[in-house]
Amino acid sequence: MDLLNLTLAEFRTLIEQKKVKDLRYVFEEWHPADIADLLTHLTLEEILFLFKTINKEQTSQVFSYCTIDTQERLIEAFSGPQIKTLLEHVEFDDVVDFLEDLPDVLVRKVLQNASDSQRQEINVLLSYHPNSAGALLTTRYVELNEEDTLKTAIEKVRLQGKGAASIQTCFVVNQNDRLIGTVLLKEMLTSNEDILIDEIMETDIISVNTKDDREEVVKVFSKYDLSVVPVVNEQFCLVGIITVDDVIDVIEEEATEDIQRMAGITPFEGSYLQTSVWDMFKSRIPWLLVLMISATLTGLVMESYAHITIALTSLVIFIPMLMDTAGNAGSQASAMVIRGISIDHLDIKDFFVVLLKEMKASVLTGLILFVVNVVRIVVFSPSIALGVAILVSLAIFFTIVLANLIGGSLPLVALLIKVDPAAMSGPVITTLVDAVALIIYFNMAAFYLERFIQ
Amino acid sequence: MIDFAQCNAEMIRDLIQERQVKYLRELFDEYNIIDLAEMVAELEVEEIMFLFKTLRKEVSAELFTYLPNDVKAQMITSFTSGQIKSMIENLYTDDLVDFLQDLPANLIRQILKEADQEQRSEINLLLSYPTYSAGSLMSLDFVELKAEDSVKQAIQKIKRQGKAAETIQVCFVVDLQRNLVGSVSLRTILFAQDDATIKDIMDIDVIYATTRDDQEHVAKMMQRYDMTVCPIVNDELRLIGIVTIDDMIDVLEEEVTEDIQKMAAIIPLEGSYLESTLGEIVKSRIAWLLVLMVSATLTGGIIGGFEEKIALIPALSFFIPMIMSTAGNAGSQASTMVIRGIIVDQLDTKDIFKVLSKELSIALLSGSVIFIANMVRVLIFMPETDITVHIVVSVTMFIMMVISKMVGGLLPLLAKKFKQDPAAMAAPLITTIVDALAMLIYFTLALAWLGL
Repeated sequence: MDLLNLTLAEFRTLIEQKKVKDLRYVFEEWHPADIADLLTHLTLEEILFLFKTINKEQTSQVFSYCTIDTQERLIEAFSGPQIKTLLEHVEFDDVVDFLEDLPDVLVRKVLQNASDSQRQEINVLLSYHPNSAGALLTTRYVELNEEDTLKTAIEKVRLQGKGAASIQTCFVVNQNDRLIGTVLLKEMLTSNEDILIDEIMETDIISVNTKDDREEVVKVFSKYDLSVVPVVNEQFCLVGIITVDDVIDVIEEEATEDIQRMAGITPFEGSYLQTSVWDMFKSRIPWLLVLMISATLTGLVMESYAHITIALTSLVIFIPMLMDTAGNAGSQASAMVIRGISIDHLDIKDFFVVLLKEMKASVLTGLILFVVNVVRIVVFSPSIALGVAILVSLAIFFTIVLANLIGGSLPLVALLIKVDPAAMSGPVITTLVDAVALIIYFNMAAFYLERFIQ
Repeated sequence: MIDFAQCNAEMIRDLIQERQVKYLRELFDEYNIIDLAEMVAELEVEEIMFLFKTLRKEVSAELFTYLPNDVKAQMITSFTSGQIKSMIENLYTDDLVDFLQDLPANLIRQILKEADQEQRSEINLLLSYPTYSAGSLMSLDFVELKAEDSVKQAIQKIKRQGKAAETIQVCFVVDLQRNLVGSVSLRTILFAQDDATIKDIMDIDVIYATTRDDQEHVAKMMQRYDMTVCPIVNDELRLIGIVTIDDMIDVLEEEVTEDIQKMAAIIPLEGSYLESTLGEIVKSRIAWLLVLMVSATLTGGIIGGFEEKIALIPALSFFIPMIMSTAGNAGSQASTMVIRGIIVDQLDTKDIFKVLSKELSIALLSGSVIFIANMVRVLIFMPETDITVHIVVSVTMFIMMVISKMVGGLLPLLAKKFKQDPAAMAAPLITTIVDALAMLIYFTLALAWLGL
């Protein structure tokens, strides 16, 4: 058996046969993330056996990589002393991370086993809004004073650095705990030992506030290419730091939220398989209902133009194509603008630039679709009159123009009225554009019938 | 005194016009260079040229790094060879290469002419990697230690090489053949005894990537293992460069953008919305529009088959849009969840039955709610239409809820099974497939129940 490349079955055999020495070796050599993956497939008894026999530091690390389901099961099963050791070894921002998702009973169980100072720190972190910078911060950083000499500073790095989340950058505060500068460790190592921190620190500080939204934090990291950012409170006192690896996870979560909104799903946390049917149902049904009811609009349009469809029933055949094309064009434009807002800081002041761009793009795409569609109908459906073919294709052209304009502008309007742009796209745009497309179509048909048929 | 907090492009322009050299230097020393670069980008080329002459070389180089690419290209054409030389001496090689990749060949030659031998070979090396590979993204400025070094020697090396390095948080250890043999964090070095050797304190199972690995792959790996730096080796396992996690933020953001574009039936487009040209935008959109327009003929054909019956009861056609969009929405809700699951949570084809049973339960629930809501809706808004038509419509919606959710859950997994991109293949097609099925079921039911 190759201990570096175990299958799940082999891993279970090791547990079953209580091969403690081999298991210790596995925990020593494997990355905790890989072990955590295996744990999701094990029974509770098997995991508990591992947590009892393997070195506490290693099991605690694995714990922080486990899925929330596994974490919940473990906390439930753990004894008081086991929770105590866990709290000693898991980083506090990770502790808070899983506490936020645990049921109240288990949160209480964890807090009961924390020491006074631990409890205090956890409570402070828990008091921040889950989507704020405060909830992401860790308090384990190296803090220097402006009057420190470089020698004292390096000593401080040695003392505080062991537990710190990052020592690459150290933070300088004055007597009132206000953040006044940052120093890179490499700067400290390459400078003369007698100079004051004051002289080598960078005073132009990029920081975030505890209350800032985490999406803001991501933007700051990506704009300024940072690996760590200090978090300050209203008085500009340093309360913690956020490291870039925590932000990476936020990017993924925010992206999922945006994508869910764009598909008409109320965002929720948790992976597909872990989420219950009921939670999924709740996240999906509101938009389905809203959109179905608002489709009454298209129904009413159809009804009020019934005399036209009765006169020329072949018009109905083209409704799906018209609607699909309209919906697709609208969501193409909105997808690009929504992403532009979240990545390239597209803003309401760019409204006319966007409109102009969509206008040009839509005229071009519309023309191509017009030609292709006329040719297609003439070749494949010769029974349909050329006039109808042109009518339908013209309707497609105008629909594309309008769909692109609506798709491009609605997300920006959402920004203006402080609604999430992603929520204004996809389904909403489709419904709106469908109705508009049908109105254009029937009006053109009415004109055609009047002029050329009667 | 000038209030730097109020700084904007106009103020910089005024300072340049008044030739306020001292204030300009002070401003660029104090204020964040990335914010300043945004303002400078709005200035005229002559004004920017003046800035570059005035500011310290390192500051100019940093400013240059953060200017948009089109401004950079303009600057390069206006620079003297001396200016280009000092610019490339002060830039990080990976930043330089990043921007060279977008330049026309004649400008690249102009720049390479000014680089010294060593720089030129470094640049050429980085330029030789494919655009999306780890090699093209990596930095060559890192601290390299030997396994036999003592801690004291290592600290000396870090002090010497560290200033130019991208990061010193983690240093990489090589053997005599420059093969990567371990990694050691600065923290470990600082806390070790001076006379210990690096070999004893280094971590030997290093996670690494090769120069040819895809950037996305490296980003995912670093994310999974919470790495801040990843060593990049060549095929012979020689250490070539490093990639830091802050570079990966952009890679991850780009990847998300690509996925969103694919799901919105757009062929992924590089570059931001405002920077993309009209031709690029049209090209990225037209393909799927055409495919979907033509495939919607199928739905049209189905309706066409029932044309005579529709003529008998025109009210049937009123509900076509609603049935189609509800089915489409339900399908894309399911496919979105499953696509995201595949990308983020490693949802796999072996989970197919779990997914289907979950979607079935959700569909039965949603279908019942939709059925009731629709009956209530039509009774309020369209009381004069035949009640049998309403029942046909509502039953169709219930059935479609089930079918749409199943198809939406199934298609992305099938795409994965056949090694296609789930986001690109499944999302745009769902609506078309579901639409056709919806019309088929709707009119078949109507025929049966209304006795046409």
